Order: sequence, then C-alpha cells, then structure tokens
Amino acid sequence: MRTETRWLRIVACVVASMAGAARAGEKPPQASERVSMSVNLLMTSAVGATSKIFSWTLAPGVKDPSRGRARMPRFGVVSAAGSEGCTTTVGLLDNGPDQRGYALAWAADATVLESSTDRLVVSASWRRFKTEDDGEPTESAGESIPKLYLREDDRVLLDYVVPDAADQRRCARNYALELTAEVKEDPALAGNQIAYDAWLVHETSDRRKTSQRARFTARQGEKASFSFPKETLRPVRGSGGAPESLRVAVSGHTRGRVRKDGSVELAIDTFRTLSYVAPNAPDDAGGETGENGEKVVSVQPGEVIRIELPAAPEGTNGRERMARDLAGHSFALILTAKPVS
Amino acid sequence: MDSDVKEVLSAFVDGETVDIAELTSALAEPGAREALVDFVRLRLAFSDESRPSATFARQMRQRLGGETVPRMVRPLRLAAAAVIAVLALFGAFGLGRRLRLDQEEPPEPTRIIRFEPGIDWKSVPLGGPS
Repeated sequence: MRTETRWLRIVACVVASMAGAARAGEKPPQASERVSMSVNLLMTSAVGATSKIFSWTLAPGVKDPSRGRARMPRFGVVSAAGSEGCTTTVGLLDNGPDQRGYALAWAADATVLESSTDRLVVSASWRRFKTEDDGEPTESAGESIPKLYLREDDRVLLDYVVPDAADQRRCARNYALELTAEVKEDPALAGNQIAYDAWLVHETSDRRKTSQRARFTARQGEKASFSFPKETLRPVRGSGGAPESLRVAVSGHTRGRVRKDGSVELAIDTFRTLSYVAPNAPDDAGGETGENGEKVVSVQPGEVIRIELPAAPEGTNGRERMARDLAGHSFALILTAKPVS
Repeated sequence: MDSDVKEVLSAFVDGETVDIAELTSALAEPGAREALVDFVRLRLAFSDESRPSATFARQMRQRLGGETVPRMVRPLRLAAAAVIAVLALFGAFGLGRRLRLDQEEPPEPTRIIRFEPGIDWKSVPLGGPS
C-alpha cells in the first residue's frame, strides 16, 4: 500500500476514534454499553492484500434521536491512480465535504439488543451511495438486519462492492464493509484472572468411569481453549459391519468474567467429534460427525458444575450406528472457575 | 637390634605365622629376650578382652526387666508388633490410594446442567468450530 494511503487511513482512524471517544463520554455507561461495535472499511488492493483502511467505533451512548440507534456519519472512499501510484482517500461526509470527490460512500448504524459473555444480539443497517457522473450521490444498495447473533470478536461482512470505474479498479480490486463487536472490560475488573479446572468424565453402563483433566488460566473476558485426548470405545458386540471402534473427541473453550458481586459469568462452548477408527489404526476411518453445545451460566467462585453431553448424536439420519455404539456411554464436563488475584 | 628382628618378634607375640629360621635367628640376637618380654607386656596392656561378671550381667538384666517378663509374653509381643506392622501397611496403602484419587477424581458437582439436543446442542459442519 502506498504511503499516501497509509497516511490517510491513519488520519481517518484517529479522527474516528477521537470522535467516538468524545461522544462516549457524553452519557454514563449502561448495561448494554459494555459492547463496542465498529464499522470497518476493507480494501483489497489491485495488486496486493486486503487491509482495513477505515474504522469507526459506534459509540453506544450516541443515539440518533429519530431512531434510537447508535449511528455513524457517512464516509466516502476513492482510489485514484496517479503518476506516483495509487492514492486512496477516506473522508467523513456528514457536515463536511459532499460526496462529489468520492466514488463510494456508506452510512451505517447498529443497536445492541442483548449482551452477555460471548453472546451478543445486535441489529444493524447500512446504505451504500454511489457518486454518479454528474457528482450527485444515489443509494445503490442497503440492508436492514433485525438480528445478528454474534460472539465476541466475531466479524460480519455487510457489503462487498467492486468499483465500477476501470481507473478505480487499477487501485482497488474491491471494498468491503464489516461490522465487529467486542466487549469493553470494566476497568475495575479488567485485572482479574480466572483459574479453570476442567474434567471430562466418561462413564459406562457397567459403572466403569474414567476421567481426564485440563487446568488452565485466562484473563478477564479472555477466551481459553481446552481439549481432552480422544477416547476409543470398545466395539459393541454383535453390531456387525466393519470391525471399527467409535472414537470420541471432546474439546471446547470458555470465556469468563468476574462480576462486581463476585460471581463469575461463564460462556462454555463444547465440541464433540465422533468418528470410526479401524483397530490399531492411528487415523480415523471416516464417518466423522461434529456437534457443538453452548451454555452461558453464572457460577460462584469455586462452584463445581457438571455439564452433561447428550447421549446420542443429534439427528438420526445416517447416525444410527453411532447412536447405537454410543449407547451405554455418558460424557460430562465438570468445571470449576475460580478468580485468582 | 635391627628393626627386622623386632618385627619378627612382634609378629610372633601377635600370633602371626613367622619363619622358624628367622625367629631362631632373632632370638639369638642380643637384647632379644628383653624385647620379647616388652612386646608381651605391651600386648597385655592394650588388649580388651574383659567380660562383665556374671553378677553384673544378672543385675543389669533385672534392672532392664529382662527376667521379670514371663517367657510366654514374648510371643504375644511379637504378635502385637506384627499386627501393628500390618495395620501400618494397610494405612499407608489407604493413604496412598486416597492421595492418588485426590489427583485423579474430579470434585463432586453441586449443580448439573444438560445440553439439550436441538436447543443448545447442534450438529456442526465438519471443519467448523474447533
């Protein structure tokens, strides 16, 4: 990317951040205002990679009085090829320059409908404006999305456009508009760490029990992954078919936050993979099935919770054999989260 | 008298095997008789082959209770010691087992949560979330 482009991108981001920060101070935080959403403009260079050239933080405290949504001013972008290479310019248009100098412009707004650890529900809308030959903007695309279900750090691609003009395409292969959401930590609690003690307990109908343990520590709000060694079940007698054993792999991740009352809000995502493996074969023989479960729970420090995984794979289409081979086996996670200072 | 002669005489007094010819020659040396007597005197002075008298031994045994304990008590003591040893063995085994379980057994949960298929437990495409 050319120096000019980088410089403009930096200026635009600084302006956007300053504006967002100033507006964020206008109103005391509310419960949903822990969530920070950003609208980003990505550009793929005609001869290079994709990079973020503009970012605007939707300040949750600033509402459009007419709509009650966090909004951002329109911004425009134009790329031009000159004698010294490509120059990309990004500028805010509301109460500023008109769109004549920009090939494309966008406006966007979003609202946080619900938020908890690792679970966000937001609505969003965006509009794209194209500058016609006479210099007047016309709305060329747009969308209103009532609900988006996101996890923290998720990205949503809202719009994608290839510049019309050939001279634009010499610099920018395409532009994309994306929405991101993240949770801003409470400064008073941001220094917390959480120690996790996770067990995978496998029990059989004849009361045999094995357990595996994973211990790890993560910062406040940090996503931490765990993974247990795969377990191979004994083939069911008389099950017929190929002499293969069902292999079970359980993994997942947690994200926890210590609350002001001392409790810990936990988001737990668990993944179970079922596959068949031939005797003495290191690799899976195929027929892999993946399942995922999500829970958000509030626990007391050191409280021991047991999360039971379903006995049979979800759905029955083509999974009868797995359901039969998994019968008599139960898998559960036992999890403890304890804040550490 | 040279040192070789003294060595032969000293070895003879200590009961070691000596060459008869050398011993004969050594005894023929001037002063050999005096030297032999001196070696015997030294050996007696530094030897410690004394034994306590029978009276002393009896009194000490009585003070230590050796003869106050009936003979039949001794097997009982041995049996008690054996029982204690067995109990200690079992105790050590149990403690070791408990310590091992503490490391390998998960804690007892106070709350049970279940994933519900179709609600919060779903199939995911292969190569999806991990």
